[in-house]
Formats: sequence, C-alpha cells, structure tokens
Amino acid sequence: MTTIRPFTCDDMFRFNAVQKYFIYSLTLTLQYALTFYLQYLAHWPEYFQVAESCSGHIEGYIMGKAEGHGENWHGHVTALSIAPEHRRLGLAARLMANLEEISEKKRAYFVDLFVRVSNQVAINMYKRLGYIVYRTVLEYYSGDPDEDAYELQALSLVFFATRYWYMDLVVMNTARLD
Amino acid sequence: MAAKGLAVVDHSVSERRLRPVYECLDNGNNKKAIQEAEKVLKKQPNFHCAKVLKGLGLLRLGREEECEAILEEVKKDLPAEDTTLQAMSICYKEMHRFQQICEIYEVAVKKDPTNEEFLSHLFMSYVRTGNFKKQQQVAMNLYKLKSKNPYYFWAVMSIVMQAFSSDDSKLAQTVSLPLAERMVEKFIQDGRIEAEAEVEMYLIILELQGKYKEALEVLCSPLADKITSQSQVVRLRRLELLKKLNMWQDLNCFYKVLIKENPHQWSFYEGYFSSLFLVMDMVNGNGNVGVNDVNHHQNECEWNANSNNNNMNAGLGRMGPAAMFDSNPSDAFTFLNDVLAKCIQENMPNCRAPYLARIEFYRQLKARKDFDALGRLGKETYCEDSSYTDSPLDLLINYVRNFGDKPCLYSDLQSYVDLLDKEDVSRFLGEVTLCLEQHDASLTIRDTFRHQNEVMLKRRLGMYEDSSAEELEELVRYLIGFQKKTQNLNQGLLPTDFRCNDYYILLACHMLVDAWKKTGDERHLIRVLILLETEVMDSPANYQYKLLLCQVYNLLGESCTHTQIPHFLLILKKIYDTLGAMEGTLKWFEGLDVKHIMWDTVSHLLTRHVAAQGHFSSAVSVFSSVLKFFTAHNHDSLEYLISAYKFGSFHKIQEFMRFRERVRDSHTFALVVLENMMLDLLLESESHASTAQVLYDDFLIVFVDQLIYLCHTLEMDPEDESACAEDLWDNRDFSTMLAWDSSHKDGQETWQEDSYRWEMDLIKLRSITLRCVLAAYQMLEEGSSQVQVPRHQILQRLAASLKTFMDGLKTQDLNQMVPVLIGGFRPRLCVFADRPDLILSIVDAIDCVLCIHNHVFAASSPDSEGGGERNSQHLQLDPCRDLCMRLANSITWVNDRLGDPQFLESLVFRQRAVEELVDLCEVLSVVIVLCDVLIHLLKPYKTSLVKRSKKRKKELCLPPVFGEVESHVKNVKVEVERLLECVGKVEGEVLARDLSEFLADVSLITDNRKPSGATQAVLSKILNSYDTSFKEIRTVLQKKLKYLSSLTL
Repeated sequence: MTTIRPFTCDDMFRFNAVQKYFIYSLTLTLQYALTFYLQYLAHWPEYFQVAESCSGHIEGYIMGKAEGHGENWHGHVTALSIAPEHRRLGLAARLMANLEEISEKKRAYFVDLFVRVSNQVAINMYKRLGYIVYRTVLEYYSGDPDEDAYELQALSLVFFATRYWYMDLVVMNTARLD
Repeated sequence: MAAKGLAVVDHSVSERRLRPVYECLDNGNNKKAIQEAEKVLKKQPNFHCAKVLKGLGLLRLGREEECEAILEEVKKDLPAEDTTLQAMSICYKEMHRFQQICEIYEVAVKKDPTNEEFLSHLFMSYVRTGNFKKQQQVAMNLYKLKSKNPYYFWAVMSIVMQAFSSDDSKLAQTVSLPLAERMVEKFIQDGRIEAEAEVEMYLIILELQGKYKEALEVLCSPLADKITSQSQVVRLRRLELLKKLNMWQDLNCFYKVLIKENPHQWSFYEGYFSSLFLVMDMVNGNGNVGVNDVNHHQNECEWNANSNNNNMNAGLGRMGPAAMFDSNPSDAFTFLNDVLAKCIQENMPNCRAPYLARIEFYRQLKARKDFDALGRLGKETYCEDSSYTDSPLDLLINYVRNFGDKPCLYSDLQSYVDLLDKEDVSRFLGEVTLCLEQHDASLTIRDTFRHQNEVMLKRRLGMYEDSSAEELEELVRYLIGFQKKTQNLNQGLLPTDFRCNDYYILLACHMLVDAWKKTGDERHLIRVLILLETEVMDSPANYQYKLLLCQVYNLLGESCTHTQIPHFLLILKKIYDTLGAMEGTLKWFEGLDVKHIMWDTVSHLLTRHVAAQGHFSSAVSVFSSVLKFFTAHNHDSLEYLISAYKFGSFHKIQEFMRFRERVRDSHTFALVVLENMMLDLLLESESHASTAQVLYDDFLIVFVDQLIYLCHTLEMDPEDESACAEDLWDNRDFSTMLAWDSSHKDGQETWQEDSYRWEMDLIKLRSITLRCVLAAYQMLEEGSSQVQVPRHQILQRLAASLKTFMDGLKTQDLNQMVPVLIGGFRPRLCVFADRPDLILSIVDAIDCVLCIHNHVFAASSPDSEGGGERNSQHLQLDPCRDLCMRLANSITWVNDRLGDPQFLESLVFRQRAVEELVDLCEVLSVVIVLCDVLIHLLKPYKTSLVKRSKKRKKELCLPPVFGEVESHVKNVKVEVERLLECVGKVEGEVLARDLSEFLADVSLITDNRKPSGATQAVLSKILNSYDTSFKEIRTVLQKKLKYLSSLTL
C-alpha cells in the first residue's frame, strides 16, 4: 500500500523533518543541504524516487545517479532511507529494483553503493539483493571516530550481455571461494 | 584600449600568476587573497581578473563598497575575457545583483558575437533574472552558431516559459505555445530528435494546449522509445492523459493490468476505484440500468470504446493483452479478491495493498452511500476461502492478523478504524488484544510490536478517554513495565537502529500528559521530563561505549544515536514550552539538529517561543540561523534552475520555480523577519543614535536586500484588508510528531489552519507596528530628504489601521483553542487580544507624536508668526495622559500576574505571565522610541525659539508644551521603574523557591535503584531557564531607563 513515484520539490517540506532519522543510511552525512537534493533533481530526476503511504506519509526515498566513462559507466545509489515504521516490508528492495531497472535502461555495467562497515543490517540486505563487497574504502565516513565503508557492487545484465567471457571468470572465482 | 594590456600577457602566464589568489579564496583566506592579488597587480596594473579577484576578497571581508568600486572600474573597460567575466559573475552573485551579470555578458557578446561560451553564460544570466524573451533570442543565436539540439530546445523552453508566466493566457494559447509546437514538429519531421528531454518537451507543449489525444499518440509512437529512463514513466503519463480525456473504461482496464503486474502500488488502486465509480455512474446514467443489466452495458461500452477512434488501442498501446473493464461493485470485489488470492499464492507476505484495498473500497462505497452494494457485502463471499468475508470488522481483523506485528500497522489502519460501529469496536479490540502476560518470559520483537499497536489502536479508538488519573497512572506503570521487560530485545543494535520498544515510553508520556490535562497536576509533566531525560540518556542495550558517547556528547550527539529521539525530543520540547523552561527547549532543539529546510518546516517549534520567554540572546541566534537559511536558499536555488536547462530536465524547471516561491513566501520567514526586527528594537535601541541605526541599518538591510516579494507583501497598503493575508505559504510540518489521540487528525488539521490564521494576524500586527515606528522616526528628517507622502500622513493612516486591527481582534475568540501536544499551545496573539491596552498604548503614543507634530508645524509656519505661541497655550495633550494611564494599567496588571500566588505554584501559569511581561516590554520599547521622536520634534522648535528670543533680546519664555512633554517622558520613566522593581522582586522569589515540591514520587516511572540524576537535571534546567529570562528582561528594562533619562529638552 505504498506508492512509489518520482520525488518532487514539494516532498522536501514533508520529508526533511524525519528523513535524518531514516535509517539504512548509506549516506555520508545524515542530512544534505537543500542544494544537494536540487542538484540531483535537476540532473538525474528519474533516479530520485519517493515511497508514500496511503495516508500521505513519506515512507522512504532513494536517490542515485549514473556516472563514469567507458567500462566504468554505472549506476550509483547515493542515498536510500526507509522510515523506522516501514521497515521489514521489502520497501528497500522495491526501490532498489527501480533504480536497477533505470540503470539497465541506461546500459550501465553495474550498480554500486557505499555502506558503513558496521551497518550489518544494511549489508545483509544488499547481499540478499545480489550485491557483493567489492572493496573497503578506509575512513570514508568522517566522524568521531571515522569509519570505513564497503563499496558494494552488483553487475548488470548489460554487463553480462556484453562481457559474457567475464561470467565464466566470476563463476570460477565464486566456486573457488566456496 | 584597456584590453590590450591583457592581450600582451600570455594567457598561461596570467593563469599561473593568479593561481595563488584562487587558492586563497578557495580556502577562505580572503586577506591573503587580497595581498596576492595586489602582488600580481604590481606587475600588471591593468590586469582585470586580478582586480576583480581582489574585489571578491574584499567583498567576502564585508567591504562591499570597495568591491563595488572595483567592479565599476573594470566594467567601464568593457572586458571580454572569460576568467574576468566569471570572477565578476561570482561577485555579482554574492551581492545578489543578477542583472549586472546580464549586462557584462551582453557587452562581451557584442564584442565577440561568435563566442559560444559567452553566449551560453548570457543565456544563464537571463535564466537567473527570469527574462524569458531574451533567453529565447540568445538560445536561437547559439543554435545558429553551433547547431546543437540542446540550444534549440533551450529556445523552445524559453517560449514555453513565456507562456507560463504570461498574464495573457489567450496570447499563450494562440501564439507562444503553437509556435513552440511548430518548432518541435519541424524537428520531428526532419528526424532530428535525439534525446528523451526533447520528446518530454513536446509532451509538455501538447499538454499545455490541452492536446491530450495528440500527446497520447506521441506516447504510442516510436518517439516514446526515446523515453528510455523508465518504462514506468511512459505508462504513468499515458494514465494521466487517459484521465484528462475522460476515457474511464480504458483507464479501468489499464489499472487492472497494472495492479496485476505490481500489486504493491497503492496509487493504482486509487486510480482503479475512481475510474470504476465513473464508469458505474456512466452506465447508470445511461438509462438507469439495474445491476443485473450491467453486463449487457459493459459489452456495449466496450464496443463503443473500440469503435470510437480505436481508443482502446490508443490507451493501452503496446501494453499487452487488453483486459475487460469493471462496471459494478461485485466485479470489483471479484477482481480485488483475485489479486489478493494471487498474492497469497505467490507468497508475497509483505504485500499489504490488496488487503487494504478491500477496506478502502468498502469506505468508498460507504462514502457514496451505495447501501445496495454494502448490504450484499455482508452476506456474500467473493472468495472461496471463507476467511475472506467482507464486513469492515472482518476485513480489519483480517488485516491485523496478517500485519499486526508490523510497526506500520497503526499508520495503515488509523483512518480506517472509523468505519467500525460502536459494537464492532469492542469485538475488534478483543481480537487485537493478545494475552501477552501468558508468555511473559519469551516476548519476541513481533510480540512487542503487536502489543504496542494494540495500545495505540485502543487510544485511537478512545478507550482511555474516560480513564481517571489513577487509572492512567496504572497504565503508565504497566507500559513502562513492558518497556523494561523487553529491553533484552535491543541487544546488538547499532546506535542508529530502531528500538522496538520505544513506543511504550512514548505512549506512557502521552498518558501522563492526559493525566495532567485531567487534573492540572503539573507533577505529571515533570514526570514526563524525567522519564524522557532518562530514556534519552539510556543506551538501547546498555552498551558501554554508547553510554560513554552519550556522556561525552552531552545529550547533543544523542540525536544521531537514537532513532526515536525525535519523538522524545518533540514531547520534551513541548512540555518545556508549557512550563516556560526555555533552557530545556533550547537544548533539545539543538538536539533535533535543525538544518536546511527544517528551518522552514519545524523551526516554528522554537521561533514562536524563544523570544516570548525572554531568552533574547538565544532568540538572536535562532532568528539569524532561520534568516540565513532563507537568504541562502533564495540565492542557491537559482543555480539549479540553470542546471535543469543544462541537463534538459525541462519538466523540473517549473517545479523549481514554484519551489523557490514557496520557500520565499513562507509565512515563517515573514514572521521571523518581523520578530527579528522587533527584537532588534527591544535589545538595541537604547539611545537616539542607536535607534536610528536599528531602524535604518538593520531594518532596511532586510527590506532592501533581494527579498523584493516579501517586502512588497509587507509594505502593502495596511488599509487593504487582503494585504499579505492569503499570499503566504504555511510550510510547517506537524506530522513529525507521533500521537495517537482519537481526534488527533482533525485536531491537528484545524490547529494548523487556525494557528496559521493567527500567525498571519500577528504578522500584520507586527508589520503595522514596525512601520509606525519607522514612519515616526522619518518625520524627524523630513526636511532633509524628499519623500512623496508626508510622513505624518502615513503615520496617521497606520495608527488608524492599528486601531482597526485591534477592534477586529476583540471579536475573535482566541482562548477557545484547546492545547494540542502535537501542534502547539497558546498563540502569541492571545495576550494582545486579551489586553488591548498594550497595543492601544502604542496608538496613544502615535497620537502624541501627531499632536506635537501638528503643534510644532503650526507654530513654526511663517504665516502664523506669534500664532503658534498662542495656540500652544491651548494645546491639549490628552493622548499623553491616556497613554500614561494605559501604561500604568498594563504594568499594574503584569505586576499582579507576577505577584499572584499561582505564579510560584504553577509552572504553566508562570510561562504565561513571563510571556505577558515580555509583550509589555516590547510595547514599552516602541513607546519609548515614540517618546524619543516627541523630544526630537520639539528640539529644533526650541532652538528656533531661543534664536528668536536672542534676536529680540527678550526673556525666553518657553511655551508649556515643552514642560508637558518632558513630564510625560518622566511619567513613562516612573512606570518603567515600577515594572523593573517588581521584576527584581519576583526574580528573587522565584529563584529562592525550591522546586522539589514538583519532584513527585518518581517510583511511577523509574526504579528506585536509579539515582535521581535525571530529576536533578530537569529541575536545574527549569531553574536556570527562569534565571536567564529574568536576567535578560531586567537588562532590557535597565537599558530602556537609561534611554528615557537621555531624553531631555
């Protein structure tokens, strides 16, 4: 009973009051300046989606972009937040699926995101969605103390379609790891 | 030519030389930047860019005038060099002079008409100033120069923007939009469409002209393939168009397909219902057909739909198999049940929408009074599984069975529980209740959610409304007991994780507040404070590191470490507000860490109270943060308008413009601007000179700065009743705070509406008062400056409207308002409405000023030589007497309030009395400025009299007016002294008073084991808060006394 729709400026009047308490946070800071949201809305409006409940409450939102050159052309999840009351309902997965679909359409090779190494709940969720830890970025999150981030990645269908030879490699590697 | 000097120096050399300047500027080291720039200028005195960068450094050091001089100088040389122009643009942007950027690029383009860079900057500069016509020209020039598609579409968008902004809708429809359409069509015919944005543009143009059918065709044509970003987008747009074309049957089919594909999406169900009802009305309207005949009609309609222009295909396009539309309730129920059955079959346990859709359908039928369908709902079963019978009670119970252990249950059902009849309520709650006591030992997270949902629903359904205070206390004990019992479930949580049992505490707080409302016993409020302070300090799972963190960050860092804190904080804040303990409020407001747009949406929690409670220095900083946000936003958001053009997000351009307006015209902004001015007047005006500074510098900066619209609104004719009334946006967000009151929703909405109206009235009151002060002060300099309307006329008019305003205020019943925890408490306007004397003494003071002005004017006009003196004999200073009487009344009243025994006994009473005291101080500060005006009106008159007497060598005999005014000022002074004395006395009493009597037994909320650290913290916060209030108020009054002493002739 959630509606996922494009984020509009007017949503900011309702979501900012609670958004910093939303969790799943992959974000560098808990709250961005207005200009940051406007920048995403101006540049990648299709990547900015909000989930709204039937009573008009904001349940969560996702914000992302497409970037990189050549083989590095990929979708990136900048922020994904779900309000506490609306967790455990698979909303994050729906929002991620949306973003991945857009990335496929844009023929991105993969989707990536950063997450705090301590945020096990989020890491588990992304793993369930098919993401793997690609690398660790030291002291990505500033604070006291600074915290490392995992960079998670999921390869897209586009990737497999264009680089099928790589798939064997992945399969081989996975087999070895197991 | 000046440019020659530049041309001589090699580009790379100058770039190298400027690098240190740029670096310093980037690092915020402006002084060094200026020095570096001067070094460069020694070598190349005519180096424009270095000059401008020096100017930028100066500007950032606050030396705007020097920067301006440099820019003027450089501008005279007509620079046409990219880095210089960019540096100039930065300066102009920071000074908010966007028009100047257009001018410099216009010059540059004239010099170098084929420079793509300059042209594109010129285009952007027109975007900033909103000059759509010029935008169009420049975009076309760009396209002629370099035939890139984006340039062409910039031009098209500029034309569309002209249509948007034009007052003449006919012109837009007949000229601008068709022109834009032709421009795009030409491109399509030539096969030059490349990007999604271009198709998007075409759709925007078609829709603006109401050509929905054409737009639909575009979406079904190969052009739609360009819209690659999201397959959903194309479909959603089709839905919108079908709606506009009233093609309800197609829409209904479309929604059915969509729901089957994505049963989660709630908006599809909403669309399905609205289309269904419209189809039903159509069918019934056609010939009053009974339900039995519907099938026949359905086929006919479908046939019609198919034969008419192939609507069906147009609508669905390449959607997949066409479905049958539904045209009666039973079809709809079958459909909804099918969807649900499919969800169950495919094992989608989180899919709530189909369950809720059935309840929503029931509600809509009820709203339509479709009793026929409703009646059959109770009897018939549309699903083979007999558990899916369709009475609201069954539907709701079914929902609770499936989702009762989810934290979202309450927010899902809160509006639907109203469907239940009285008898059903108890059956429903009986079903909801789980006997938790039975398996105490092993409560799971799901159990706690279920249990908490139960209490919330009970509260929502009014189960606790009739409980006595004792029963509520018992309930609090019960809830806190559960919270303690379930603490073990919070193990292993991250600081940012959500604690599953936080609602127990929140609910307990609401119950305690209810108990206070019932009994007036303020110890309940203190209990809430202690409870929350303890909870906020407690780590979720007694993690040692977290405890440490909490101590180190001193409650501040808490906001990030505890997800539910916002709710805790909000309640805490409200209570502190009620008690007038601003120190607590301030602290927790900091804890809320308000940033960015929250300054607009939630800052009302603080801005409406902080100054009113006498915490003036905190108010100064809070107001300046609010104003900083609004000014910065006004500036920054323009750049994103430009980005939207750059990235071709054309559909966002209008949205951005609306958003800018909504923030700019926020009523919070207007109110804070005015409150800030009032505060300035209160704190800073302590002599004739400082008042002038307050009025001319501080006021005018706000007025003259880029806030033209707001100024305009605030400066509108005060007699015009509609002035600034409906024009501002109420952006306050009240939904931040959770509450489970039975009437909460309605209460909240009416509260927001009412409080908005009162605040708009307050805006009006403040605006008139402040303009009175300004106009009165300007009377003193009328001789020197040229003004169109004589100031005393304006003042007269303003005084009249102030009086009218007060008359209107009396009729409003402000005190009827119920305090709501979620919204707020008594609006500030209440005091002014209760005690009209406060504002009327300002009116009297203005009358005094006008009276003296007329007198002096009559006396000093050349044709009444000697007559003035005669007049003055008969001068009646009634207004002065009225004023003193009113002031004396008000001061006696406030003194009584402060001396009332309740003042010491009730903290809530105390909060009100302090607010009244502050309001009186505000009025006094206005009256004193008007006294200042009185004295200074008379001063030149006195000088002229002295001169004249010297000339005639006569003994100086001053007319009685001088004595009267002086004694009037003295009278005011005596009153202020009286007030100050009283404040001092009360302050001593309040601070000497031990608050421990409010320290009720805390066993209700805490274990005995716990030390009373939190209790002490709460009490000392409250005490400190009064300390600050009285200290600051006393300082203000002392300043005002000094001011009054300086007012002599």
